[in-house]
Amino acid sequence: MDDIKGKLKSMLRNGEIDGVLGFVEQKYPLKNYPLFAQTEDDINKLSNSLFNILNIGTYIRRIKDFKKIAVLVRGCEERTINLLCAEHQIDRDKLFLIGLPCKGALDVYTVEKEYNGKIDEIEEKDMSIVIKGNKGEKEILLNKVISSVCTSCVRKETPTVDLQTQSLNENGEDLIFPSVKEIEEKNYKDRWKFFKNQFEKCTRCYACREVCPMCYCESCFVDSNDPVWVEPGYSIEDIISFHLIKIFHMAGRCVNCGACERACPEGIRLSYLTSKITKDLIADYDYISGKTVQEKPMFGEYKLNDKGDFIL
Amino acid sequence: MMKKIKKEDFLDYLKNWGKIVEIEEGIDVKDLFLPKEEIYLVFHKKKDSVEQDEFRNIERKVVFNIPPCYAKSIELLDFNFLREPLDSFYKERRDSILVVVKACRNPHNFCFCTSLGNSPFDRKGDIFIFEKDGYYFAEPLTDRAKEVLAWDKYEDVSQDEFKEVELEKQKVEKEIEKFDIVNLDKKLYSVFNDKIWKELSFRCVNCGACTFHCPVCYCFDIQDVDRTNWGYRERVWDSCMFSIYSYETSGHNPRAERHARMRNRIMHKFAYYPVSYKEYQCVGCGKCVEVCPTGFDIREALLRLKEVVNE
Amino acid sequence: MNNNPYMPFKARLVGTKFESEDRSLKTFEFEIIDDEIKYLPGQFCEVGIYGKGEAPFGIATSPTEGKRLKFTINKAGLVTSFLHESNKGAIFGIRGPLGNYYPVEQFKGHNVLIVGGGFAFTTLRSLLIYLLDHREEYKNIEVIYGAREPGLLMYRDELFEWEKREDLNIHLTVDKEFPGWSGNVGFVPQVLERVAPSSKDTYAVVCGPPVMIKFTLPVLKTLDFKSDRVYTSLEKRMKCGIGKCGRCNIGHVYICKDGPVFSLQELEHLPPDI
Repeated sequence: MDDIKGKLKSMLRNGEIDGVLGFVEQKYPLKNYPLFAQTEDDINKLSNSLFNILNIGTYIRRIKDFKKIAVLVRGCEERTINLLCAEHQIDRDKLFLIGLPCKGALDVYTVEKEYNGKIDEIEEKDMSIVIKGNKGEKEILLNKVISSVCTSCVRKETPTVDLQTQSLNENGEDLIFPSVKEIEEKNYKDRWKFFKNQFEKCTRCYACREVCPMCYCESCFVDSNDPVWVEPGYSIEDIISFHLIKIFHMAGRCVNCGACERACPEGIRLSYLTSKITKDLIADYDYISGKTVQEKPMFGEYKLNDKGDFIL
Repeated sequence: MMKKIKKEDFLDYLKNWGKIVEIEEGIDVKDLFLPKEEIYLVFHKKKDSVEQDEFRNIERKVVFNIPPCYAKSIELLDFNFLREPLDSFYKERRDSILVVVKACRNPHNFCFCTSLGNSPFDRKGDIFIFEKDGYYFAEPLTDRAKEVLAWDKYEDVSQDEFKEVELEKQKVEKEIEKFDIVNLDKKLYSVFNDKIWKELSFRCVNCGACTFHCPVCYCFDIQDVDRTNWGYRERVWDSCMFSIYSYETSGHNPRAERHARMRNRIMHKFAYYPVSYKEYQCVGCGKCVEVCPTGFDIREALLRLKEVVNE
Repeated sequence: MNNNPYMPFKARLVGTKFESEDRSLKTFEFEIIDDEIKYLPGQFCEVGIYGKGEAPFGIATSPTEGKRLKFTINKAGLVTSFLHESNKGAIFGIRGPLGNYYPVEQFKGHNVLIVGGGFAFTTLRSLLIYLLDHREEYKNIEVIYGAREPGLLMYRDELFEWEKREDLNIHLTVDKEFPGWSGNVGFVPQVLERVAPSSKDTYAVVCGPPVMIKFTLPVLKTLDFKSDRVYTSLEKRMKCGIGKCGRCNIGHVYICKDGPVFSLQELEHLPPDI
């Protein structure tokens, strides 16, 4: 990270970039926050860690009036930016992307549940984290506390960036989506029970929508009063309608970064939905969203050999 | 007077008063007094007329085990809902819920109640309790609490026991980080147009998590639901962090920009509310810090604002 | 007001009238069923359509005109569009009166200047009729009212009647020349500058679109109107109408409860959050 910072600082000094967008480590360590660093001091604050739980793509559109900015991206964020470029939301020529290695993002709720006490400090090790707090010291293996979407990440590498910091060895492993498998093995009744339990917790704070880099509509269908797509209030039908319509809007545009799930204050397992569409798109269309800037979103394009058996 | 009462006995008395709802903290406390969704008017459309009925669904309850900061939040909600014109829905709910407050002995990382002049052992609510070896040390604080049980029948806690409570209080208070924001309210007006709000709000995604989880945020929306020949009107939680919250039909939005919405949230709590009610609209529970997807820390924000107003 | 401020009075729509040539403005006349709303000029009501929702509108009638209430409403959102399609006899739910009113008591024995623009003339109509119905209690009454074009001037029949009155100076204006229009041409602030009413012993009430207000206030200042003598009525998105639900605040005041009528002096002490 220090090499990259040195390079970025010199780019800033030379006027090649207006600033660097990345995440900053926070005092209380479970959630890092984004910063648009425009000074060398600020660049020093940037970090790449398990606590970068959001998607940096959400913040690019907030920076106005710039010639060129550098963005620190992990695999999912790189693909997000490719998609945003393909949808003409940002101009790829005005970005300088730096690819970062990624071990996944922590699932805050699992961490809290695993420790079950007041956490003071978390130390990041190669394959584990060490938590210190009022319940003493506890080491937890990473694969236990990493977001479930990260364990089935479709591409951790960042082949399309301008500055690589990791070697590119496309892994040939078969992707397993444990959450999808878990649901698919359930019968209809149990599935309904599972999702009902999840969505009953929803308070409609829309954190999932707001942290999503691809949910950039100026006005959201859920806020429309004419026509009313989703009624006010908290009946389960309406909550599920919101989440399902949202996920349909995301099909082919979702990179399965899991920011929505990690942002949800109620701990709703939204990745069960995002992983399902990701898995189905790979299975049915061999499509991974955001692989390149040129590629259009899945449903933004029509190919003659597209599968059509779902059309009645 | 603090009485020593066997746990089972005490719970029996409470059960006689109403249904016991045990909550330690969190979003469900506010939900009891100001429900997420509250249907208040049901109508039936006839050929030439409409029938409308007031709809109430109120049950006597005992909210049990909440910490003093949450009890304080109910006092702050009272300011808004019990002032003229009286909000009768809130009033009826308030009157039907007995508040039993437990001394807070496990503050978490985000707590800052002491910075707001509160204490984790504040005598708040109807009854204050401290748990010890199968007993509650309980103190009735309101007239209706005095009627919950025959307090005179029970002996006072001993001097040593009382001392223990006091020592525990001092111990817990020390665990909570304290900072000084006295008199910040008036000075905040001077930075209304400062660039600090843009700086603070850069990370904010403008979701409603902080406001929904805040025990003192009370904004609500009124919405109709239409079922062809009948329907209902309800109030549902709303958040000042949503852009549609202040969006006008004309297309104008006084708080269209993100920083304006964050400014309103913070100023409402720490500048506007004190003008009306002489208190900050915050109890220092730290829930907003805990639930924020970006970990926005109101304590750091207040300290940063303090720097800016003093520049 | 009902005992419960959230419960509406049932009201019957007894008449409608198009107010502008483009049919975007319509006046609705309501009769409160078995009850009465007692109000003063400047107050507003939440007009509710069962199943669609409520929206706030200033009362366009003066309490001196009787028990019926009139609202002139621009077709814009869900509630207003539905209202525009409603027929006589339909039942609505009206909550009110809400908010404060123009300080008509304070105006007594003084001159009153009314400056209005566009379709913000509704509560100004209420005020004007109230003043005229208590004519002997007030000194000079001067009105400046403008719209984009003649067809958009509201309450035209009444306006032309008022023009004939001796005890009232009314200046109507349209933004630019228009066939068949022989009155003033120019924006409201320009006409105000030309008419230059004396600020001595005078209260001014200004209501209109934000841009009109923006250019009118400096003119009033040059005419030496003090900020505690200039009143305006504000608008914001509202829901409860009783200062509970939160959204219409400017600083610590709520437009629905502490307003909508404010003096400039009051506004000077509030943050610019409009």
